[in-house]
Amino acid sequence: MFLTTDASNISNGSAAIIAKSEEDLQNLTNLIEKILDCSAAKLKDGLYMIVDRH
Amino acid sequence: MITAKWLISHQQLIGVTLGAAFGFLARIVMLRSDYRQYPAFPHGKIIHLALGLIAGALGAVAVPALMSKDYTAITFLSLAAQQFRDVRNMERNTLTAIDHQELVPRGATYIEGIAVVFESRNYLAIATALIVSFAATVFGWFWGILLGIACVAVVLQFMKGKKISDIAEVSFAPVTAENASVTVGDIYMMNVGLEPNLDIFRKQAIGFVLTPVSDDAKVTLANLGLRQAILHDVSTRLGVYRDDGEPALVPIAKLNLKTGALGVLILPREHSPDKALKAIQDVPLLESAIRKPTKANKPKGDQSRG
Repeated sequence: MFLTTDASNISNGSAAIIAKSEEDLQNLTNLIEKILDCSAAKLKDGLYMIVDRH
Repeated sequence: MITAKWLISHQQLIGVTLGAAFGFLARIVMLRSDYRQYPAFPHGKIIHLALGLIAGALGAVAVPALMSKDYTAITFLSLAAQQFRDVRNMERNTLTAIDHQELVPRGATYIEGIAVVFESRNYLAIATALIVSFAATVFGWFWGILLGIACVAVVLQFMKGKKISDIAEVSFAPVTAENASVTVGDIYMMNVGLEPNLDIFRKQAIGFVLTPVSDDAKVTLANLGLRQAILHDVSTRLGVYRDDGEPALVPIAKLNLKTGALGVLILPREHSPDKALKAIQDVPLLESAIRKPTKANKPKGDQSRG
């Protein structure tokens, strides 16, 4: 699953959350990481991917 | 009254008693709770002490039985072997079951190593009992005690296995946590996306580089089970700075593919680099992780290398 501030980073159909700002993105990523117990990997500024390493 | 005369006339009884006692003693000295914290609870120990007593008694009674030409008594020992194989299964099952609840798991290779040790220590107890019982019955109680002490000394030698420090030089390496990447020295470890987590790595993490001392060591260090054992042991001795639901905070070990050196990143609860260094050096070399490719690739008849 992806989290981004820029919808053009992701293709149609992929599970993604579009954040309003960089701060919002950090908050959301932090929450999703804790909720899903999956770590957040940063691909570039404004684009995170949630990875299940278990 | 127990007199010298009585002792001489009951040599077999003395043999069996001494054999069983020394077999049991050998099991006691081999049953230690060290930093591995297992078995640390009284009930776990009682299981192994009881089995040790049985092992000692089994080994001890074999000698008088054989001396009275009761050769079928040897089948008794095969029964014991079956029994102690079950000990291995029991240990494997228990450790595998509790491994899921560990913050840093032991890993299958380590568990297998521990289970094998539990089984083999029972055989060492049987062997001690057999030797002591034989010596005491044939040569007299004095020789039984003498050989018993020698056997316990040999058994203690068996407990000293090789360590990581025998195959690799352990040295500190700087941990950098920048741009979502965590590296130890020049070895890339993993991607950590969130800034607060990177901050924890900057403050808490300690990095090491394990440089293999030989070609054999290079292959051994690459074993995933051995790497997990290193992470588990260090986390046991220094605690670990992580919790359930904190997926980014994981101790990790990765190879430098070019050189074969192993980068180790740990997150100790107690930030003590010297203790951590000692902990890594003391990690036992797992039997099933050891590889000796130079021996396997040696041409026939060539004794020069290996």
